[in-house]
Amino acid sequence: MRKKVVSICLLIVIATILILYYSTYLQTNAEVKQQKVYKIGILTTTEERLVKTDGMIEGLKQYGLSDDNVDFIIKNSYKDIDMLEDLAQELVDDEVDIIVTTGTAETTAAKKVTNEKNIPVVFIGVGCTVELGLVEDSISTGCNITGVDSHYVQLSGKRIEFLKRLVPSTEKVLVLYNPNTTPFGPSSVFLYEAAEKFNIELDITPVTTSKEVIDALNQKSNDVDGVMIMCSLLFESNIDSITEITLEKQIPAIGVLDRHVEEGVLAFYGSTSYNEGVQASRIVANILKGQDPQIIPIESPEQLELHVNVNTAEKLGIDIETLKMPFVDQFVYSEKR
Amino acid sequence: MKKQTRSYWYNSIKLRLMSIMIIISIIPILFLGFYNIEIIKKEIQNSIHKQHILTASRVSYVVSDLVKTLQTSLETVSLTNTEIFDDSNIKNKENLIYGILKKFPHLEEIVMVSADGKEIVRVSKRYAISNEDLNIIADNVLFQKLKQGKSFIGSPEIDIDNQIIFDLGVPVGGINEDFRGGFIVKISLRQVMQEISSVEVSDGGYIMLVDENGELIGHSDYSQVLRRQDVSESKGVSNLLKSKVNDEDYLRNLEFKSIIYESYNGEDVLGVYGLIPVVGWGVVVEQPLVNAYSTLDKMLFRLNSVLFIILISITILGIIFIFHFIKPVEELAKGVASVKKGNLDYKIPKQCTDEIGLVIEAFNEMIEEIKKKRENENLAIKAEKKAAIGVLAAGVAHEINNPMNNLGFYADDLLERLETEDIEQLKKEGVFKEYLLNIREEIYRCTDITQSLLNYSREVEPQCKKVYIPNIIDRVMKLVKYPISKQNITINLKYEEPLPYIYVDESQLQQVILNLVTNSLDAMNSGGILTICLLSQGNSICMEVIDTGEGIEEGNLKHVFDPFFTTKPVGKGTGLGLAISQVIVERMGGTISLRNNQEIGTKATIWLPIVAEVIEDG
Repeated sequence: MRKKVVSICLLIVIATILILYYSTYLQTNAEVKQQKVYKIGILTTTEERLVKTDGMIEGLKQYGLSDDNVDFIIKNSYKDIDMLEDLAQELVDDEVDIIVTTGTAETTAAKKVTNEKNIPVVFIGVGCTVELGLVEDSISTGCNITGVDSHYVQLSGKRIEFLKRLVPSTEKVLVLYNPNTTPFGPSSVFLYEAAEKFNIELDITPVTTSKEVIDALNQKSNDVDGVMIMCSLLFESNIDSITEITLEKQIPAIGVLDRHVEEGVLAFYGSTSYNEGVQASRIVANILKGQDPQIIPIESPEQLELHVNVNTAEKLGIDIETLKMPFVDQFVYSEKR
Repeated sequence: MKKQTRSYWYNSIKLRLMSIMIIISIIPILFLGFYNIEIIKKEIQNSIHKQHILTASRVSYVVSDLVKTLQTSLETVSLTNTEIFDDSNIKNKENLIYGILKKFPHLEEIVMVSADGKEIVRVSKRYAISNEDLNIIADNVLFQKLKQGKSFIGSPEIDIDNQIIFDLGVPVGGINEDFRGGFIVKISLRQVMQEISSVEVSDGGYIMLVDENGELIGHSDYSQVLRRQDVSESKGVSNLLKSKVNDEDYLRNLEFKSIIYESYNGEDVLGVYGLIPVVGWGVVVEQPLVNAYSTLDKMLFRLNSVLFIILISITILGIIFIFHFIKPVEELAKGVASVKKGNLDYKIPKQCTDEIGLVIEAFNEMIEEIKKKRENENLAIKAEKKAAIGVLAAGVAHEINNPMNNLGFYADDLLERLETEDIEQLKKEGVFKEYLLNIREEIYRCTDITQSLLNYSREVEPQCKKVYIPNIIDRVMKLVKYPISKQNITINLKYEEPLPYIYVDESQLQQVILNLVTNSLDAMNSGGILTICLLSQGNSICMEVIDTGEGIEEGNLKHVFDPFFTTKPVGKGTGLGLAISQVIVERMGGTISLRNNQEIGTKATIWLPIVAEVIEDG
């Protein structure tokens, strides 16, 4: 009898310990389950633009959002702009919490499919969003779209200044832009002002196809001593040809993407794609925490950098003395492929 | 008479032990649990406050250090470059300024001003600036400040790039003639806030920077700054503005205050606020109470759950122990109850060898002894009963004799009339019927007497049943009818109807009453009065048997219930009558006493209980 009682008591003690242990385990599990797993859809047209989302993914970590609680669904159209809308629709069908876009075309496609779905869209490094009609206003976007503006048009004046600083003999610059993605509106005033300040003549040429890009470069290269390319998938796709022609014609070029410099363009000034992504992560995190994208102002790029390709400079016969150029943030040593 | 005690559930040892268990185990655990919870709660609250104060002081440090570092850096640059404010070699100066811009990412623009108020170099991060953009600012109020050797900090404003920018002016040299020039830099607070955002704020918390007018110039959610969110409703901000007015030396004030209040967004927050030295702005760290105490709430829930489970386990363990411990005691109580009901064959199973085991063993032995004693008493009762029958037999024989004589008389008389009178005539007159009725009556009388004796002398096992005492007295009177009439004794029976029934063995009660009546008759040889009173009082019935006999000597009174004590002549009594009567009455749960009456004779008093069942039956 006594043994029986002792056994029962021992069983109760063991059961109590097990219940306590199991309840702690269950609670921890419940907390893990309670933690929502977010779905972030990423819409891009090129593999290279994913550098922006790499920065965003890294930046999200400081807000407690990582692979543990975020599923990233990447949709890449591989330069096929027509596919973007379908891919965006797939993200909507996947019931993502937010769609992150890496360019103008992606943002336009995302806007079309999310208009009635109320899925927030955050763009990284897209310019002229107000002029393109993607948002109503940069402070209050008035829709489900917000993000980090690359300010590539606003910074074009500063690019002219740096081009002049790097190549003081510059007098006429060919500005290539794609009118489909760059509406030269009020922000182009920076460009004209800078040109006037530094006595530079501008040849602003709209191009919409690869052929037009190459033709424009070939035809006008003898007439200009500098090239500035604006932001467009068109130039990203033709960066090899642009680099080749400008080197062949010995014309210094300045771009809007840090990747351009790595591809052989002489210089770039602006925010790097990666930094734009890091900056956008704050907006993404705030939206996931429940903030309404309509009240999130569009941010200008925070960190601006000047990159110079030393190899290209040498080929162009430009004297680069790194110690005497404190305004350069990064000297890139990269041969054109 | 023994008082009947009822046992109530709340008097049980089990309940008392459980109460003790609760008092000595559960209450201290609860007390300690709640005490610890309170301590932990306070500790966590203090920890949250400290954490927020730490965050606020770090932000304060970042901002003031930024300004001080910039000031120092610019002064150092000017000291190491003696010709910096000359008009010569502008290119070098620009390079120098670009170097500073690169070093301090939150700088948006730097302007170098000469001693005569001419802008020598201006470099912007975002905008192209040429020599044409350089102005003369000699008349500017801020330049006048620089000329007086004073630094200045401008009001933060939003620029066209949606950035909060403020001016910092740093003079170089000294006052008036010694003044060599100065720097005016534009600092982006967004970059500063980026740095501040890396300061970890607790769950749901945010940092705000407000300028000297209480306007939002920095927020963990920078969009609120761009939206020009009005935060003046926040008590932290309003208190800051008040303290600034009250405290003249606010620029050096590094004290942070922590309070709970409603913030600008209507949420109750745990807020910490303080002034930032050097710039004179304020820093406010707010965390919604819901978030601040969510960890605490979760922890308290866990603690309470653990406490609850432990308490349940202790209670179950306690109940098992108590039941195990109490089981032999209950067996003992069960045995006592069984014995009390007369079951002397009950034996408590021995379950343990501890003190309770010893008590059970002793109890079993005691019951065995009682059983033996009871058997002896039963033998004595039977013996005494037989003796009483012997005594009664003579009386009964005398009592039967009279009807028998009558029977003889009737028989003789009828025979004589049959011989002398006409049978038909006798038959017609109903003489036969009359004689036969008389004969039957006499036979019934005999039967009644012998039946009473037979009933009394029948040996049956004691069996309790509902008994009406006057009926028993009536039967006794039939048995002692002869000595009563012989001794010329008057019987006086007093009671008031209705009397309650009692629950006893009627044969044994009859034996007791017969014993008392016989004793009284023996004490009244030459006539007297035998009074029997019955009275119901509460849950008992009192029966008094009072005679007018010679009484008992005072010295013998205390021995009257001793076995074999008698004052009667040898051969007339066994000396067991009263002793056995006492045993029987006590078995019935009653008491018996005997004393001399006040004037003459003795008075025997018996109290018998009316048991619950009889009371309920009415």
